[in-house]
Amino acid sequence: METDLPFLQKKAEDFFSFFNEAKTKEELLKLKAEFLGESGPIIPLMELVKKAPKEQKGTLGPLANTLRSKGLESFQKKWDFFLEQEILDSLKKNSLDLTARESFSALDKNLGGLHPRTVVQREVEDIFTRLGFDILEGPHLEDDYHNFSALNIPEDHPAREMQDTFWLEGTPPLLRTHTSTIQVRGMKQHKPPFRFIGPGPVFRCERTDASHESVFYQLEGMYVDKNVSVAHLIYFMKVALKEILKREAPIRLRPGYFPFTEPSFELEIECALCKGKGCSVCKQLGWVELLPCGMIHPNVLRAGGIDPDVFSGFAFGLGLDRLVMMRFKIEDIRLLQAGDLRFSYQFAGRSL
Amino acid sequence: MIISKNWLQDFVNLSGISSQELFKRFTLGCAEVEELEEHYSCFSKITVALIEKITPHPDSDRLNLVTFSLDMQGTTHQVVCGAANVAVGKKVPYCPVGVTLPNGLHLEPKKIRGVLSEGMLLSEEELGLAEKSEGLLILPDHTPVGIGLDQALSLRPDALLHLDNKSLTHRPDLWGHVGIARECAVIFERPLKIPYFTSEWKNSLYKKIEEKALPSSQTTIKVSVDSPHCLSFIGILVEGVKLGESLPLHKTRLQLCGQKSLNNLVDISNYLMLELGHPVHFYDADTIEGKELFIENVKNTSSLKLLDDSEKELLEGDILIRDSKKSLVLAGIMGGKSSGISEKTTRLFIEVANWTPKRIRQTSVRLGLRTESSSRFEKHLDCHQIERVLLRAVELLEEQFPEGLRYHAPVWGKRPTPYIPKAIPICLETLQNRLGHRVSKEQVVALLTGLQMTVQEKTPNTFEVFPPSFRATKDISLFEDIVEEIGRLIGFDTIVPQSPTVPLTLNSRPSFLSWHRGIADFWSFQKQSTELQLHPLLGEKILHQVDWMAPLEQNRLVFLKNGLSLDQQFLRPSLLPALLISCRENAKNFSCFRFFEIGKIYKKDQETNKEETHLGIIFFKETHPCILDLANAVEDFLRFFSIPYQLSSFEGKWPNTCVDSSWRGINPYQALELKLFGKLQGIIGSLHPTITQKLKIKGHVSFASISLEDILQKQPFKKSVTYSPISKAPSSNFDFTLKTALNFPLEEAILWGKKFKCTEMISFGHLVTFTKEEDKFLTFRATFAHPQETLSSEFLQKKQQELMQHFVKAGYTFKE
Repeated sequence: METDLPFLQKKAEDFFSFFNEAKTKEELLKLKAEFLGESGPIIPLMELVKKAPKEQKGTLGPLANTLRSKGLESFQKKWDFFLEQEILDSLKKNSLDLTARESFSALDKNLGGLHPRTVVQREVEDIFTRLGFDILEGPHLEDDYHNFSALNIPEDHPAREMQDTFWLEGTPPLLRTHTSTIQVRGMKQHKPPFRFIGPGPVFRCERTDASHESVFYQLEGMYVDKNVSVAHLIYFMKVALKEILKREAPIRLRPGYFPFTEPSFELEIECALCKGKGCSVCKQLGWVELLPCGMIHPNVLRAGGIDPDVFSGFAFGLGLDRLVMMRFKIEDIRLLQAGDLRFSYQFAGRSL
Repeated sequence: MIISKNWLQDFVNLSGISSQELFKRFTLGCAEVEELEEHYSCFSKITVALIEKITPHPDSDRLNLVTFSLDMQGTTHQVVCGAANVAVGKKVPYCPVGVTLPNGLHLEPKKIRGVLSEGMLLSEEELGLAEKSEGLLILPDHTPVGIGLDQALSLRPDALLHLDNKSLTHRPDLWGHVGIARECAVIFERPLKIPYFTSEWKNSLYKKIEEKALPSSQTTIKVSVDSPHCLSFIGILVEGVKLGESLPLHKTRLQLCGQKSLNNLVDISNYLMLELGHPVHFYDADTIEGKELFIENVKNTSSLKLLDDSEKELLEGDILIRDSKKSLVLAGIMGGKSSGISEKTTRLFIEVANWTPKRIRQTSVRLGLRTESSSRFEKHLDCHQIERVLLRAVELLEEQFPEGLRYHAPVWGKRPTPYIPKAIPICLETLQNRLGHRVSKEQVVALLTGLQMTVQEKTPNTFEVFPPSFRATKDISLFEDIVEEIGRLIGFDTIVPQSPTVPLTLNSRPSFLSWHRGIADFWSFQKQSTELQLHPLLGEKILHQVDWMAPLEQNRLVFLKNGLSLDQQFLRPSLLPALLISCRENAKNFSCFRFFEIGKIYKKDQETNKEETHLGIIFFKETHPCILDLANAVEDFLRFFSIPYQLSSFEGKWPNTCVDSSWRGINPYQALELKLFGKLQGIIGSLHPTITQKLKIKGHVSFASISLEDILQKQPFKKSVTYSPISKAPSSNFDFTLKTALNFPLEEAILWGKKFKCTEMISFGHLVTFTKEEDKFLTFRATFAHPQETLSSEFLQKKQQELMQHFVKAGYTFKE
């Protein structure tokens, strides 16, 4: 057995590359045992250090230790390499199919989302809140007073026929035909100056088709102060409609008739489809009715406990369902209440 | 109502104003025109052609090449024509290229089987004169060649304005051409020429009546009025009429305005109504027995056969016109069959009257009989025009029968009370303030005068306005009415928008709105549910399909008195029936879904109808039960909004605002009752398989219904969270497993575990459950910790022992 230092040193250094060249974890472990074992270079080296004369021990000792730790280091390096390799192999073997995402599976998923009408209603509510309007609500079951009399529609007035009323067994005796019922309640709750809106469903005894429903949503608005003028009404409607429609659409006022306003108007916007030229959507008129409005009739102000000689104001009614249909190009109003998820899912699971 | 432009031109010159302009400016200045219909506008461009030669088309058996001339100079044209009745020497209408026909066809130069056709020879159908016709329109031989078809057929081009009747509700004066002409005169600043308002005209007709008067020895028909609802009445007896065809002009105008031409007499009454806006009634005078008409309120229920052959029941208060023997006319609404005009009629009694609008409306609404007549009277017509209408009737009769008519003296049944106009004080400044527009005094006075109002200046800035009688019945009485008149005539579009100046206010979102939004957001975005809004009107069929209610309980439904169909008979008593039907429909397209609705439900309590806001939720899964998912979601919901609640298994002993305990739709083994604020106002459950099968739903349906009434009264998001510092010392878990029977409720063990008295046990909960044969194994975890110090293992072991003892004491067995 060779025991001289240069031989042992070389033998130990050879192991460094043996470790690196090992093919398997088992081979590597075997090499490590050899390196540290009886037949390896380290034990004889330690013997050599033990036997060496005192003056040589100071150099020989550290040399032997360095060779040992360097050997173990190269073992460890290779060992870590094998471990990493093993993890990589198992990752490869057990990899996930990242294309198996929900978007590729049509079934078994719940799409949460708001009704398109809710989305538009919130938007409009927020626009009017920004303009300083309060938001009120009113009952669906109504009495004659709030739906008619207080709104300057006395009994047997032909205007009662303008809105076909659903009458009920029992009291309250009817379903509100418009959100204008909120007007008197709102006036009594507030002291002028005030401004408020009231959204909600209204009920009409009408045959249904693609553009008519017996239940649909309106949004009522009221603004009362001293010296409120038609010019103010137009200003508010222009500002609000620009926000609601998200575009600056030409509008016009034409005379209309509602018992609760005087003068009364139909606010029309230029038909978006034909730009005023006339097409089938606007019945060749070039304009589309969007918002009935007017200056509040003095009798209505009186019913709300407000002196019409001191205060004036304007009121308007916005057809929310019409807005929803315009926004999303929905062709049939009945779809809004049909409860069909094939409809709802087109709006669900996303911000609108 | 349909208004003819030609007819308007009897009273106001509209030359130079295009139909389009009339349409637009009338809409903006007065009332909505729904449609503009142009008639015969192309007829002047269509000319009379003389057929000169016919040769067969070289490439067709059916077609001919027709050569024709449009003048006598010898120039000829050629078209390809397929009509069978084409013949040399015939005169037919020819339409050159570039013209659009009434059916919308725009003629362009066109090769037909290789031969160029320069326009088209026309049939009645193509001209819009008949719905269907065969062959060309052959004109009479004496028709001059080359003249326009309008001339040849004496058909003037016309424009028809279709007015929206609803927008005329407040304008009784606009229900005839005269009224509309008056508006046009002001809108277009043209002079108005209505002869009927002059005394010359009136006198000339009275003179005519006198000239042709019957000897006074012959008695006329007397009229006695005994009803407060007859506001005015004038009549005249005319002899020598004969049923026949109307004058062509009358016929054309009536047809254009949508009135069928029947015979000369009925046509005159309709013509009068469409011209002056006032309905009249013509009686065959020979059917009036006893030579007297009685106008009275019905005292006893009776019946009357009307002109339309319907038999109507008249009730107390209806206005009836009768003779000494029988009922004749339902006043203001429709004439009776017995006294109507017939071929035998020679003596005519004309009634022009006015009636209480309210009374006419009540009767016509009750009988469902809405006639041209009733819809005018209910608007409140002017009493002062009846004499004018009567004289105009005489004038039209004279046109129809220039010879042979004889008149009795007109009879006043009731003269109108004299019209005393009421002053409307106007302050120019207030008017300007209301419009937000500077309008001069001169302009205001000119516009109002144009509308035939009298204006009297009081001070430089104030004046009084007196409306004419035809605007005073319902329409003009207030300052605001004058604002409207001025505004619409100057054009509301000329008013410049102006921002108001208002004090700053801070408004907050009302709590009902925060709740609605919060709840909808929670279910949409935290629980991946889709928001639905279903129709609140239901029919019995839906309730039957889900076995919702015993027939006896129907008195709790809010029924519509005038529901439109069997699907819409009452208001929904719960959100669930419609949600379940929606679930059935959607289960056909999807294998799993969740949806919810926030909406009102309606109940009847004795005679009082009530509405409540509810939340309804459906979870559906084809493959697995979803009741636990739903129950967890509901609990998350209540915790999220800090709503105190109690959930217990469904017993159906106490009334629940959300569900009837007798409803067979509840699976008794999968249902929980929800108590909020001390009341049962919610249910979470699975749909009973019998109903699932009945609805043919393949899968598991779970539902929840919760009343939001009490919740909406609370302040939303009221409770704030109390933070506690995180312990620096580590916590220690202790897991153990109990062996129980299969039907053992987990909740019991949890509640028992939580009863273990030890301040260091900071949580106790269930980890996992597994079953093996007849046993169920429940694994629990208790967590021990101290805020400041680490717990010693001796202490932990001691507490764990005690916890196990706690369970042993209650009779639980541990897994071996």
